[in-house]
Amino acid sequence: MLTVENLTAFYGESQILHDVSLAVDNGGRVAIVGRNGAGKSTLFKSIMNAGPRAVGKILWNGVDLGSTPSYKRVRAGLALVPEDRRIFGHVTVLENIAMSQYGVLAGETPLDPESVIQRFPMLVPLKDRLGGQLSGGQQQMVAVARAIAARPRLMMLDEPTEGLAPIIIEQLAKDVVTVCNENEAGLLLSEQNLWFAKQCTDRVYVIDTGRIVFEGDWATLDENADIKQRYLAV
Amino acid sequence: MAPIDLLFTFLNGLSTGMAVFLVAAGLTLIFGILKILNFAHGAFFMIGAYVAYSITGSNPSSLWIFILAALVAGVVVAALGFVTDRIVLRRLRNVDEAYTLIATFAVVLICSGVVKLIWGVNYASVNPPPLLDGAIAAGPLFIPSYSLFVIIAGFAVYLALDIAIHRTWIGKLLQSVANDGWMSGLLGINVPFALTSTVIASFMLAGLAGGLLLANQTLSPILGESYLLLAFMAVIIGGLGNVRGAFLASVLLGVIESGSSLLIPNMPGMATYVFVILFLLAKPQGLLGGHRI
Repeated sequence: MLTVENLTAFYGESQILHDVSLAVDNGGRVAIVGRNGAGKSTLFKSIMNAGPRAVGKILWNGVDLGSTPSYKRVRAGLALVPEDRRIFGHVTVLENIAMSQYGVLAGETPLDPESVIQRFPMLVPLKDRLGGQLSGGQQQMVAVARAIAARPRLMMLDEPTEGLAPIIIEQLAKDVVTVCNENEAGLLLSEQNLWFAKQCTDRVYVIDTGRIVFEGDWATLDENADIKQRYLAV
Repeated sequence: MAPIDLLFTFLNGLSTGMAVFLVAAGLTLIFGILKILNFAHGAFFMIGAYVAYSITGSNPSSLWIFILAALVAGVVVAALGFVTDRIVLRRLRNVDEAYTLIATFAVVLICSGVVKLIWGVNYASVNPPPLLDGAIAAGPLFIPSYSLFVIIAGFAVYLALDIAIHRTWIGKLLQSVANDGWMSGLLGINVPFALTSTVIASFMLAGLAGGLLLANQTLSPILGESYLLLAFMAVIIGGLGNVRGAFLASVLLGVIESGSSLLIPNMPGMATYVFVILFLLAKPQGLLGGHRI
């Protein structure tokens, strides 16, 4: 279980997050929604100790992660797919997926990249293509496949639908739910696409200018037109 | 000019180029992956030469002792690389290049002082081992055996490095760390360990080069400067941090150096500097700049 308590985060002197608290149960699926610049990506990077200077508690299965470096957080079962995907262009799709073998929990074996790729039919004919030769949608699929190959207990997807065609988004929603179920992995999803977020998650936090302004289930959010209008309307 | 002179000049240049590459190999590796311009590289090349000299003395008894001494020099300097990384280099990974220049220059001074303390300030020289002290006749052409040895050693180091970086899984991992260390960490790759390993490999190459080129040197506490300038030029002309580029540039610089000593013997080195200036004006990114490592 992931618990974030009173997390503040800074880039230089700029404070991006203000006392953010949230929780994701084991196997739970939670969305963080908010406008551009609300602090979603900073929150994810802070959880992974991958950029911002963060102050506050981040507990993973009851253990305070403190200053644990990002690669050890990955090896503890956390996985982050960043919004810009960061696929390695010099290696193939299969090799990109194989790169995540170092992120498995101690004593576990990573998933075979060939078997992982079978879960993403769009990638099967592309498995020997270099990462740098893929479209945005294909790269997003590889990024998700790469994350699940390490068998994480919690997968964090940062704006996975950004720049993708609607048909790809529909497919990605199905794939994300399927792989989370198959791997009994939790999901923490940052999104602006509410349709996608609803398809993939049960609970939702709304974030605005670095502060959590709503938490609850989707039905409650849907009933709260004021929150939607104030913090999510374009 | 007779064709035989041209051929001799080319082989001489190839030998010089391979010697330059032996020094440049570690320099380009550490820049390609860590983005550190290691000004202390020449100093560790010097320490490698002195370590090998401590084993062989002025007259190596056999080729195998000579090669073994070079390998031991590589291992000793690799160990020094680990220590240098712990104390100095790992603190420079996220700071401005100016700090790197100052810190590695300080390491040069320390190395120079240590060499004076251990080996003294007197000059020393080492003869090639028995198998390499003659020349091989190929028709009318006489090639010094030691030059041939340096050419073979240079090619061997290049092939080993190229295969390691471009054909092995570890090489692909290191390229990933070099291209995107942040994402590599987010895949569970121990990036600090990968970077330290690269430093150790780079220093090992410096020590090995010191041992292999031992017979070409006058050993002194300023030995590090002799090849460093040419090695830096090779790294820059090749495209910073690109091993293949450094190899091609080393050959090119060696041949120009050799050719100019034949054509304009009263202006040694002038043609090389003019070439480097003109080349960088025309192609500032280097031969293979943009292609990583």
